[in-house]
Amino acid sequence: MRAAAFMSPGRVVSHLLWLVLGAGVAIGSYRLGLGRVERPGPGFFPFLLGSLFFALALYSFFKGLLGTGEGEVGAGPSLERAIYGKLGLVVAALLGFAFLIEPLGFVPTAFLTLGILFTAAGLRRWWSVTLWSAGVVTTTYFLFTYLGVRFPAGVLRHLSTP
Amino acid sequence: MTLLYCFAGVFIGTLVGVLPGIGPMGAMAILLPSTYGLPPAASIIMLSGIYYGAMYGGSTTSILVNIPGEAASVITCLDGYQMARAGRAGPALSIAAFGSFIGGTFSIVALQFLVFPLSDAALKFGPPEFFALMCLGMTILTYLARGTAVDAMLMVLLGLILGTVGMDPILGTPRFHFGSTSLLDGVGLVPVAMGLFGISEVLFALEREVVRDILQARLAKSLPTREDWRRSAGPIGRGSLIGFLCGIIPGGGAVMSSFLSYSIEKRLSKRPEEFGCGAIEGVAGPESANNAAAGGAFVPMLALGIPPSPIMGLLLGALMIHGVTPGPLLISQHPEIFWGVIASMYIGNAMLVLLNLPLVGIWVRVLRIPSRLLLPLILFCCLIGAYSANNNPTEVVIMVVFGVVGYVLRKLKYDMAPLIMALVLGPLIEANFRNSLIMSDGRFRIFLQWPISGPVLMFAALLLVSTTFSAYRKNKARMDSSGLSEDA
Repeated sequence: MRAAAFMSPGRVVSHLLWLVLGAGVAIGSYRLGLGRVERPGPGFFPFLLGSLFFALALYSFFKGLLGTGEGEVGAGPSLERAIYGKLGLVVAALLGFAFLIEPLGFVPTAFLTLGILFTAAGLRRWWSVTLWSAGVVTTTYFLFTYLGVRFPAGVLRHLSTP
Repeated sequence: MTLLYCFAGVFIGTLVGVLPGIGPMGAMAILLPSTYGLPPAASIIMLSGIYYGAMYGGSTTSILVNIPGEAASVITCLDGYQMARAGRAGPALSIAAFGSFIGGTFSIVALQFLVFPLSDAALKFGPPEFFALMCLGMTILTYLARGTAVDAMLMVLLGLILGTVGMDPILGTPRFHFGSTSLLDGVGLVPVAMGLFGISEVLFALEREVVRDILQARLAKSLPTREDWRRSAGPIGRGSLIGFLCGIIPGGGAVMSSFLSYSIEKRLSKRPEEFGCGAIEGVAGPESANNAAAGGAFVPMLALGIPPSPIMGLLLGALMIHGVTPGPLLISQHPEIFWGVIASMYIGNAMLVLLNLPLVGIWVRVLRIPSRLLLPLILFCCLIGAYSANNNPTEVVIMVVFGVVGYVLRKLKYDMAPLIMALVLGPLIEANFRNSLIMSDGRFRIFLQWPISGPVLMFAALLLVSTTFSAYRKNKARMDSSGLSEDA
């Protein structure tokens, strides 16, 4: 009797995403226009890629489901909830930097971001987090300004104008 | 000034090589935006310095801490750490440094002999030949990638698909930009590379606290004995040649060269039982090989414009950002870049011997920086790097998204090297493919022409078939054995 299906939930989800991506690329490319073989249009190459990707993902998906795939066996990757929380906090801090740097300005945004990152990485004492964040922001600001990089002033520009 | 950039590159490269966590790929991606204001030659010299500096630096952590600083130094852990435990860390570090210097110097000399005839031959290449060679490169990378062949092929196709975002390289039609002006120039090599290799690496490192037990190197007895040199001479020579050849082959590179050198030295040794217990040959050969591979990798990149590895792909991307296209015309059109890189490699190699031996105490102190300080600093450098390239927050978002994607892909055991190579080469592959069809009025047999594109594509196809067939046989054996155990 054959063993049961082996693909981990993570790989099932990834393969479903690959199928959606492949189909989406193929359909989107078709709409761009395939042109003719002797004059390929903008959609020609991505259509080939999308179709190949979809076909390969489908093949791998069914092989995995039927338990004949070479891929990962077993329950798949698992992490404690606390680790996911820490990683989620780090990613949120990084995205927050992107969205806040222009309205808020470099200095306050960088300070907040570093504070969250140091805390997530395991620095416990609040004064240690504050000192390190302030030190890194100050050093970075002056170093990169010296190198010619312009950082947005944000709210500090409003504070400095009379 | 060029010497300063060379020194900065090798210093940062050694630092990156010493610190486990961020590899040369991540460091080059993070520092790439800071080179935008530099002349192209200086930019490449600095980035190249990071690459071969990391090869040197990785051996320090392998020998003293038993944790490889980067992938190509994994094999040095086997015997280097055992030598350190036996109180011979000094000779191990010395032989690693001198072996790396000799391997690096050999590859620079050999590079100069090989790049000119290859460039001359490549002047006769047309779009079908370049398309075929790039496909072969992708195929070999698939063959040698970690994980399964199908997963590697999916990553290649994903990279090629990402490469189609932005403007069509032939007609200039916008594709898959979803109305965003930022995406009209494509997803960008820099934020993607920083995300996949910088952010995801740090996210991995944040999962666990690594305890480093650092052995003290007794520098008083740091120089190798005459017997050490006698035993190392052959491995260094062989490792240099093996490394150079592996560096040229697409998908080969420093990792493969170090493993191959170790296997060969063990096979050739009169005392193979000593390997794994502190055989100096196990340090000399692989360390020479990985530095020689770093030099060998420049041959196809400079002569043909085809990067044999993801790191060379990043260098190729850096050159293209500066408006320089590597290939057969590079030497004639931009001799300052070519000769600048060659000269910096000679000087960089000499600098690295000086950096690695006397300053080993400093590198040991760097290793003691706790990860709760180091990891946030690396992430912050990534943020600054991604934002300062174009003062565009969208690129930071792209970097973070690909950081999460890279983290998830690694968890699911996908290899990201094929993805980044395909992203770099994708627009070139598409342009050469479509130009070939335009030239031949739509006839696909243009790709089967002799003496280059036809045989190269056939070889690539054979490699793909053999990869698939060997995967099929492995599966069949696994299914047969599981069937047997259930029947028993």
